[in-house]
Amino acid sequence: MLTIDIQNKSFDSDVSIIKNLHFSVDKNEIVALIGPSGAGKSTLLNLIAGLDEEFEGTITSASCATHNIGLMFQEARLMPWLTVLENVLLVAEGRKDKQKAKQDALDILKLVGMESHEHAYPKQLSGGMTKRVALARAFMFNPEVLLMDEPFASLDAPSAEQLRQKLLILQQQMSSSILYVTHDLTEAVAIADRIIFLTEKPMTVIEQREVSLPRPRYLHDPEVSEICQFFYRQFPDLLCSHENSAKCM
Amino acid sequence: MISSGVTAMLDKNIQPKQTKSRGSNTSTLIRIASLLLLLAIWQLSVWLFAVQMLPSPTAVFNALIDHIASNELPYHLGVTLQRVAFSFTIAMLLGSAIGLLMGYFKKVDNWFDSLLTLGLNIPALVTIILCFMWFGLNEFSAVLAVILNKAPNVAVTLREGAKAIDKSLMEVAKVYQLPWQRTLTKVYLPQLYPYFLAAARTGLALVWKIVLVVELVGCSDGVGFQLGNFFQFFDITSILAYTFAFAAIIYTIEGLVLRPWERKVTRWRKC
Repeated sequence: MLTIDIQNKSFDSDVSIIKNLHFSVDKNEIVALIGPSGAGKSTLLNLIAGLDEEFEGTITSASCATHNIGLMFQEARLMPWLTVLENVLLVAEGRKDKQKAKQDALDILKLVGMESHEHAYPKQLSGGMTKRVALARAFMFNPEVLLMDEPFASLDAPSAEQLRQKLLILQQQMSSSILYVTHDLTEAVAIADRIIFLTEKPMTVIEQREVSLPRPRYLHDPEVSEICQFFYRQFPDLLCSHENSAKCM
Repeated sequence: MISSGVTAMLDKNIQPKQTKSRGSNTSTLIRIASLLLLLAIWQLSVWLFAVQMLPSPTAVFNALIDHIASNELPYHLGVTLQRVAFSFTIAMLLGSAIGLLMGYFKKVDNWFDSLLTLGLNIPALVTIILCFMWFGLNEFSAVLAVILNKAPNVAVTLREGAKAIDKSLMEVAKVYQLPWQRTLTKVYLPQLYPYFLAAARTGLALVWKIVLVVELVGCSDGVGFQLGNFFQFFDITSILAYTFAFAAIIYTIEGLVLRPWERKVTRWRKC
């Protein structure tokens, strides 16, 4: 469905940020990209989303449709002057039936638990609530592939867990594929069908592993912890050097 | 659950607050009271010190009625208003276009920066006199002089606005493939409204003043022309009567156009 083939990406200096990176995402699949902070994961998402077009290689989508890739940023990035409903409707431009679009937006807001705040402004919402609205906006766009850049990293654990479950419900309903960037292995195992392990300087794929645990999965599930421990043992240099060091003990 | 707790808090927060509307009523009353206080001090000064060069507010008000009744004030005020409206609109459009281009393109900024500094610092009177000398004592010169004086101020304000555009929000528009019209109206312009508002506010005040000088120097009608006549006859009462009318127009524009617009575009900040 989405095929990434990047030979080289560098900024002003000649140092490559991404080199020989190849992978694909299948229909309805959730793929987690895991790698150290600063490896270039956000840069990669910017390339896939079309925000940065200066790289050597190709990024192709099976449907060839232009309206097929959405990106949920690390921050909610809501328009502060638009209400919750207006923010969600903002991306529904192409739709002819405005009434239907509004109803769809309300339905998605209901799904993420924001139905009673449709007239509130982002300033009036908590961090978790703005993320829920950003999630609703991303799915209102109805993307074939949704790119997510550590979307729940700044949230407290219960809010992040709740949003991950909402994300899975929306993903099932909309039949979207998800490319989920994180530096937290436990989160990757809990959410993904497949995990792609990345190295840094330059970023490239070192390993891909399927996660075949039944859903729903939660961060504290013993099976999730077991798989994480297995990966920590498999990739000690990659996973134990930064944020996850405590979990490698 | 956590979310319901937050929800309850939010519901509480977004309840319309009565205290706010009471607060805004109080501030309106204070504004009116400050003007009434000024009039009272003025009237009292005239009574207590019998200042010869300062007519009382009541005398000024009577003169105002006379000038209105003779149709002289509405005519000249109308002519001035036309000049103000026309030159203000052109100056806003031209200044905004230049300012936005300067803010957006570094090269345009480099090209126009020195010219803008020059435009900002040349005394208004110099531009006015030169326009009348080069293009004659006509309407075109009058309006051109005002535009040349005002447009640089608008350009500077809008340049800063364009530089302050939040690129991360523009990226949202790009990722979600918003058409340019929607990006302009829903993402780009809302970030510029405070700058437009500031430029309009200061612009209106400046344009009024410059138009009066233009009319004083080279026109045969308008409030500025009339003030010149009253000056020659040392008619302070009429000068103040015209100033009253002038102030009334300013308050009307402020109350009916600028404040409602400001309330509308900054509503989200105050919630």
